[in-house]
Amino acid sequence: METILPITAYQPKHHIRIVTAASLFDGHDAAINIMRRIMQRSGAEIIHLGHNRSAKEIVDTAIQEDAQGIALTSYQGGHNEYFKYIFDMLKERGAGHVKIFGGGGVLFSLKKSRHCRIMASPVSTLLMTVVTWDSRA
Amino acid sequence: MGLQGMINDVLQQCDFPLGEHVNGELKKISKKDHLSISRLITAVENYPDENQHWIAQITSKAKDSKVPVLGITGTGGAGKSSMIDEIIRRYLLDFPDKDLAVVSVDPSKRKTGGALLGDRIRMNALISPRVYMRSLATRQSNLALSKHIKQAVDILKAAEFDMIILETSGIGQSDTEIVDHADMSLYIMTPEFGAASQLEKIDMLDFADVIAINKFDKRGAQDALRDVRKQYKRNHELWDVKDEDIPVFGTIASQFNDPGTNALYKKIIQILEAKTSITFHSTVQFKTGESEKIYIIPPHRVRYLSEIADNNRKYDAWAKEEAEKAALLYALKESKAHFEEKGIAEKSRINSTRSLIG
Repeated sequence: METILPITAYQPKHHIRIVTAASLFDGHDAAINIMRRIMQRSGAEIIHLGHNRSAKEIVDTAIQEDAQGIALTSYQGGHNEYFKYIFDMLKERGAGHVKIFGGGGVLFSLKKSRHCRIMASPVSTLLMTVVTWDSRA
Repeated sequence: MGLQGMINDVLQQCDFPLGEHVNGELKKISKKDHLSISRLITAVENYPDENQHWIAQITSKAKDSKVPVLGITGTGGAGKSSMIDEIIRRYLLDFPDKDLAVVSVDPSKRKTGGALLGDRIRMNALISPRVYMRSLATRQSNLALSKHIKQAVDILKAAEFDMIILETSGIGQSDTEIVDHADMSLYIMTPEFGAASQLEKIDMLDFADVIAINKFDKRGAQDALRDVRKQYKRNHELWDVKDEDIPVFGTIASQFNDPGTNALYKKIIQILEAKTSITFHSTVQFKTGESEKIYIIPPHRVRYLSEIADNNRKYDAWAKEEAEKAALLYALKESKAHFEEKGIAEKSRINSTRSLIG
């Protein structure tokens, strides 16, 4: 029988700073809390904003904190616009290097999004849905 | 892939260096250009050796700067972030033309090197474009302050902010480090410090210019205020000063327009003006006084609805009991009348029936 080895944490070469939050009008922060704890445990510095944060607040924070990445959970269905706002605003303000990671609930589908093409490279979708469901079971 | 696998992917993508080389940022440094300030702070944090040449330049520029620095420290969970939020809110209201920068230092985990920088959760006043805020991890978990904190503050001074707030993680003894980096310092604690003798161990009571006893709505707050004032008097040998003039304030930072927090804010501005050559020209009148929890429902009325419900239930039970009694009484009374009226006739009919059977 094949045994599945536990995946060991990635060892970062540089100091990694990531902004985490749940999106605007969204209080579902169970998933992002689990994700950020694993990031912390893997040695990242997490600037956590809690829930119900607007695109501007996220971008302001990423710029002021000079983070390499933003990880967000969106459960309320507005993610297509929300992520695009963040993506555009970062570029507009000279912080296009900041990577965006998103995940969310059942409504979360970037494949169907017409913005998906634009965002395809910087966005990697985490299936946080699973985590949300697990934590609620 | 698993959760760790997903996170590994995220971290791998984010694992690129920042601040190794600084180009135009140094020239662009101004309080309006958050991007440049951020990158410079990252540079001193990540690559202090590579960037030595310009750090010296910043340090000398900051030396002549008169930007006041307010240092804030206190025990974990005492409400430092909430208090800073309240101070920023009042500052922005009081000085419509002034800017402000905040540096918050939180501990890195010794075991993993990771850190949760969570001060922004509580700070809603940061939404103002006049505020710059930076969270730093200590990156050495045995210290309250990050090693590069001085350079970070120097960069903010060089950017010519009108005021800088420096907050440290409250981990005991090394708290007093903050005094070296700030023009004045504020110590935030709660009424729950244990016995009065515990206060003798707190170094910051020697060094803090102002002390806030936050969460003043907690039980024993008045006693705490008296004890801390007494200890402050002992530490500073202020035997003749009146209790009210000791800079110890009871505050409830979570309460809107809290009079204790107002008094604390005014005192901070007053001390900063006295300690630096800056005049702030405070314009807003804040209502000051002792903090008292303003309750929507006063404590002795908290169970008010439940009392009404209890009373109603008791009344219902009593009424039901009485109704049963009345019903029984009525039944007896009716039975009695029935037998009295019709009893005789019935009896004779029964008797005649019996005789027929017999």
